[in-house]
Amino acid sequence: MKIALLAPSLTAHDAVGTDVLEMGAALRRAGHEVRLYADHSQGIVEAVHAPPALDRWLGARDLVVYHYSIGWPRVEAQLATLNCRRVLRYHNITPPEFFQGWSPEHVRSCAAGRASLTTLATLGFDLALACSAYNLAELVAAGLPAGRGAVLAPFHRCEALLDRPADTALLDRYGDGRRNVLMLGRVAPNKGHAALFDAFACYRRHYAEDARLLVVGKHDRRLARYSRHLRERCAALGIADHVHFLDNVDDARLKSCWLVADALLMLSEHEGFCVPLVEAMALGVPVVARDRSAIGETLGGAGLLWHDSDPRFYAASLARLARDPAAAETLRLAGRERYRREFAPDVLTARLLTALAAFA
Amino acid sequence: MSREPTGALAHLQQEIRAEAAALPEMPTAPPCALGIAAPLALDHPQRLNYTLDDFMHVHNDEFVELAYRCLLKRPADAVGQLHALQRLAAGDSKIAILGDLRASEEGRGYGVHVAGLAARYRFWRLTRLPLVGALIERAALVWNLPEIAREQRRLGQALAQQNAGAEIAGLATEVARLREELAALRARRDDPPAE
Repeated sequence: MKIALLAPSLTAHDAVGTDVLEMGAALRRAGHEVRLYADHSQGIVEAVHAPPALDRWLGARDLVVYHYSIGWPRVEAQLATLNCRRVLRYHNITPPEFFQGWSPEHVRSCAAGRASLTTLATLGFDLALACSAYNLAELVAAGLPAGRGAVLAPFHRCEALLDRPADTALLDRYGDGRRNVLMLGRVAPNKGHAALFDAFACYRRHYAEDARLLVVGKHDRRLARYSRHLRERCAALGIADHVHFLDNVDDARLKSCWLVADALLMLSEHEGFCVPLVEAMALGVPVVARDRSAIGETLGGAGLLWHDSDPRFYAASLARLARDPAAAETLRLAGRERYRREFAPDVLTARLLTALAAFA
Repeated sequence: MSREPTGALAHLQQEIRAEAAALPEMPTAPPCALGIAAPLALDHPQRLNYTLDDFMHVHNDEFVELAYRCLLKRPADAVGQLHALQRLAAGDSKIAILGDLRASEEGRGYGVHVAGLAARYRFWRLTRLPLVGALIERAALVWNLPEIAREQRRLGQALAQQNAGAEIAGLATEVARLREELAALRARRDDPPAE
């Protein structure tokens, strides 16, 4: 079967790009002919085709998988007229209110993206593959017939990360015996940095004066005011010297960050899935997280999950993991088990092929 | 799937909860709390008052999108967007597009107020009248000729400066911040804190 994977923009190492590329590889291994379609691409080795040519390549028995993570009205209109079978892959879109007061451009693009939700949910897709039950619930609430939806966690690059050598300079720099708390995610207002800094400040104040927070993620120039605000907040909390923002982190440096991390602290407000939790499980780093959006269901029982935002819970959790190796090991084992059972590549591939079996 | 921890994990969380409760509460967050004082953005669903100036400095797709989001509180539909862009490309004025959106049944429902729009939209409608409309428009153009010439010169200057200006301002801010950080690091190097 010919399968077109369609996304507005493809970037090699971001969450959506990784899902598209790894999904394509899994489908090719299963014997399908796969092509990528996007308006823009960056760092992609294989051919990326222009979406207007989509209908010439696909026949009535073929399949298009539309990766929906931001609005793309032109192609969404084209999808409605395609003669092939259609699958919607929903990654979720950050609600625009998170960007209110920080970036009108983000408010506009997120609002435009979310505005397509109802249209897409009722467009008559043969199947919707949501990255989480949280995402599926949004689609169903927007009008998708519940029987046409399924949950499939996104493909990821954990195995590649496990095989990758680490950056030794970064290992030396941060492997100095101090406690390293890790936060992973782009620097954006939905990621809960305010709560993160409060929790870290509380941890330093009551338990570990030498602890360090590594905030790994891309800074967006359009959110420069938010980035400056975060630095000011760190200064106001007296933790500026102990919070390290790491941008442009390649695989080797990311691997180093995971290797030196004593815990992943995730207080994000909105996630349609949360790939860093899966990376933490794969790499054996205990997780302390806040139960928001899809974070709870991604983590399952493989970490310390709090609904409350009180920084003392997170500080006490980090402290307990530091002084109780058995507790930390329990979480590591639970994480690895959950990864093996739910998120290993062969598990995801089998679930994808099962979901698409009806189209074969 | 239940998110409630079970067994050993539940017991561990109970102990941590008790330990956390015994900690003193953290001081109130510093005054720079996230986004509290930020004014309503232009396209905020609850914002109902605008000035014409809010719309005059954006162009093409961006203008159409903004007009829809502000006046109809929704993104532009494909047909509406195409129609508006075709009108702009054909030389229609932004006033006409804003006025039509505001006067539409949907626009009247939101009741958004754009200061200065009503009078200019009424005048634009006059210029659309058969025969006499064209005369009114020409008379108005002749009347406004000095202002139009000034605007043309201003636009020429602005176009020349626009590309470089915004970028330089952003870079200057960043350089100033980096200089401050460098000075702080030098000071720390020269005068290291006692361990």
